[in-house]
Amino acid sequence: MGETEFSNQLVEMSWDPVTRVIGSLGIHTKIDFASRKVVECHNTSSIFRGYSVFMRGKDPRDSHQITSRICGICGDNHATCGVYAQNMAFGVTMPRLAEWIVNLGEAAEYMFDHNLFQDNLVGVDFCEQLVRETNPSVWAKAEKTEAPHAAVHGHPTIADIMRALNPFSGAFYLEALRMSRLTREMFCLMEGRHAHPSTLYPGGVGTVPSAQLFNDYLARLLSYIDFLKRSVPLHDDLFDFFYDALPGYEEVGRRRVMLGCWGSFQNPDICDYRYETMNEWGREMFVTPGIVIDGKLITNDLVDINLGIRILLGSSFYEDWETGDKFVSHDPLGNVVDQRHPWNQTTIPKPQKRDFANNYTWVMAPRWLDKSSGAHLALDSGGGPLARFWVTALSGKVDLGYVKATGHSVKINLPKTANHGETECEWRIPKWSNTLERNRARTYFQAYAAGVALYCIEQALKDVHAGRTQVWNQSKVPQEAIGCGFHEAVRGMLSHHLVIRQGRIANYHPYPPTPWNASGRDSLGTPGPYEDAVTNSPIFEENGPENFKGIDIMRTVRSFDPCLPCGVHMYLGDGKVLKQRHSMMFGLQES
Amino acid sequence: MRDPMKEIDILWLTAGLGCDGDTVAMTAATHPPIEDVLSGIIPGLPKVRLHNPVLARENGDEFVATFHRAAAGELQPFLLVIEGSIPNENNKSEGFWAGFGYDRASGQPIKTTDWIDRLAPNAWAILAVGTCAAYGGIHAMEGNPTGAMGLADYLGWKWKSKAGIPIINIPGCPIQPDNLMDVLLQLLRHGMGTAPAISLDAMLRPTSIFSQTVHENCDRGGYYEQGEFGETYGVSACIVKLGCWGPVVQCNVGKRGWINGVGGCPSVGGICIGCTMPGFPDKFMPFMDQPPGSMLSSQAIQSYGHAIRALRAFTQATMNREPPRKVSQSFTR
Repeated sequence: MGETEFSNQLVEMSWDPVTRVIGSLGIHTKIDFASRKVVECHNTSSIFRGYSVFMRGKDPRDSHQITSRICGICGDNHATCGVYAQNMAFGVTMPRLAEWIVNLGEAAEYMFDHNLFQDNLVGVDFCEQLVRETNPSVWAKAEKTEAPHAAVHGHPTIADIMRALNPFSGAFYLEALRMSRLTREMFCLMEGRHAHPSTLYPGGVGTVPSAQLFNDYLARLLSYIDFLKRSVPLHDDLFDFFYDALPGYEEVGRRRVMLGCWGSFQNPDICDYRYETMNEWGREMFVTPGIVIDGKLITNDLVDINLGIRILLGSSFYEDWETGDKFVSHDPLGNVVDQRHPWNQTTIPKPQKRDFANNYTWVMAPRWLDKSSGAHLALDSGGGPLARFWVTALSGKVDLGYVKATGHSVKINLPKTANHGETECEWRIPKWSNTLERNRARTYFQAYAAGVALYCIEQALKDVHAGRTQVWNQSKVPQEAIGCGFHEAVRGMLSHHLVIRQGRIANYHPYPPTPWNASGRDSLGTPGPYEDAVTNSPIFEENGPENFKGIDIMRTVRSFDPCLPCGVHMYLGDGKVLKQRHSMMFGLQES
Repeated sequence: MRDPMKEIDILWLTAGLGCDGDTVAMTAATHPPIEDVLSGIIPGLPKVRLHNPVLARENGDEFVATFHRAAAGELQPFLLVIEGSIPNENNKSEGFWAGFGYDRASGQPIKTTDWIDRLAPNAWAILAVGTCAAYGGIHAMEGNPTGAMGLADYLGWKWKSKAGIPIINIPGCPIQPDNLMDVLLQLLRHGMGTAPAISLDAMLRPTSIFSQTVHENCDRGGYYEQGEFGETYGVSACIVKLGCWGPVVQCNVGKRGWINGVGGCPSVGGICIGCTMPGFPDKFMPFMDQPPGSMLSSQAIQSYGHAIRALRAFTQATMNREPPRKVSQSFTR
């Protein structure tokens, strides 16, 4: 079938499930092959489990153990955020050493998860096998292009890097897989088990602290840093090559800069978990919370961030709760809390057929109300690291020696390791919020987490050597209380909202990054970030519709690090469908 | 099977009500790591092809095609792995709780239960990995809307594959990574005719892994014996009074650790919340209260423990002194 036959024709194509993500994700797209653009798309998710339903009435102290089970790769992020929310509700702080232990656990999680996702899941989209199948001319160029940092990472050409990424055979793929176990060992030293930790509690941890514990972690961390010194330049070479080999690739997956980051790594000297002082201790986190719109920092205040959250029903399979119970009318500072805020949300599932003209998803649409414009913004996380870096860099607050925010970049200083000398790497604010920059930030953030970990080990050892080994503060569950936790899951902003009545959970709503990123059209018609990033994205794949792989679309969706313990389907909406094709089955199915 | 198995496909369905945590745990295994099984470097195993959505190179229809072939009986033999609990799709008037892929004609997702109905009759064996798939787990918690259950609740506890193999449950939330590898290797060796069928208990757990309790292998067990109980987290004493269910929970993590021997629950400082057990989570909640049964046993051990500790302290003090050293006469002047 010749290409001309497709001029002015939209071809509907689907990938269901999209593999190499967490959760089963599906994509239905409508593509205009004449102009080589994706025309439109919708999201839908196909699994409902009901956490907010079955948590009602349970003991609030169990909430982090339950919510950890939301996610099998970053469950500890939920457990941590759940503990933060309990700390606020119970009015308890954590001993200093406990905060270092939690920070070290979370740092290991970022290193592990970003590494595994980047090089064993995303990386395959950039491997020899797929590049040859989708862009033979790019492969030919890669074979002739010397890798600028070959001397550091040991791969002479870009094609050699791509070969090293081949699944289950490439040398770097296999090394990354092995490394992901080392970082998970680090995690288990601090929090017992991965992905559902065994030692986190409201008021601290159960981990028995000792100098040996932190030395065990440090020895592994240094091996990992040695690996990172090759990994960072390797990924720079790979992603820079794509800009060079495919001019215009910056438009792939590009969307308006609308990034949210809820902050990570508490500073125990400042953080008291009180809502009233949340802005102060939020600003002292080692990843700064904030919102960046069109390159400008809008806020660093967790109270602003909290009050602006709106959960819109959109096109999801739930009853509305506009007239439901109002659990929290005002926050502890006296500010009005909206009925569409997570504290006041009531989840009532209403299973129904998937109908793209009406409701088609299990994912509600979280948005952030920008008071200055009145707009409900569909913020994204940039897959996590892009938003974390962008906000932290612009805010210019963090300086731990090993990591430092400059106002326009983040500098990371890594000490001498077995095979490499002292190394500084600098993440600079990029020109675009796009597919390649989401991916690049993912490697740099592993180095950032390593830097924070080095600092936390030093602090923890100081405490241990001084005999300050308490790691848990006792607390009591109050009869009536509210709490909220703000954190960064590996793939982006994470909040937990808790309401306690009569000593039991009356309402609990976790909002992980994926509802933000993978939400569908909201009640105002605004598409979610995946939909937005894929729509109008150019197609660089050299294949025609007959053997189309959708590689540019896949790279875009995966750049957000989808983590749906539920499915998401992107569907291309209302336009007239002239031809329908299914991926890999072209010619067999026609509608 | 009469002839040794030459090759086998593993079809791993993550579309139950789950979190992909068991798939992620599989990537953490070190004894052996999954890549060593797939690359064929472990002697005596058949060639193994893994079809798991998190690790697959293939995408969309190309990925699902293998599952369709297996459902149609065109792929033999295959091992079916189920991850996540099974929803009750009959407890509502329409819609779906869980699906995987979609049906071309209707445009609706293919329900996970439909996949199980289609694949189970053709499977050589079925592994239910994780407590969700085994017994319902977290998503079957009291008050859940989905009617979540374990695979054996769905297919029947007496279900056997066409090769005569019962459902094999590997509980754990998530699975201890190397437990999966141990079961997988024995199962494959069984397929090769070099190992017997896996011995299972009444709850379909491998007896080699799940016969002992956490307590029997706990590195805090000595404290328990001496009647030393922690009243706060972060100490070395036995933490049963803080809510640890180790004395009755069948799990080998105390001995094996979590990843490459590192980590665990009481060994690191966390209470055992019973995540491998069929009664998890409802029968163990609230997790942070002392298990009622342990009140009697921890009380009873007190007097014995204190006496024994005093005696040991005496002996220990003696042993901490160097013995009187008599010098041989022949070397003295």
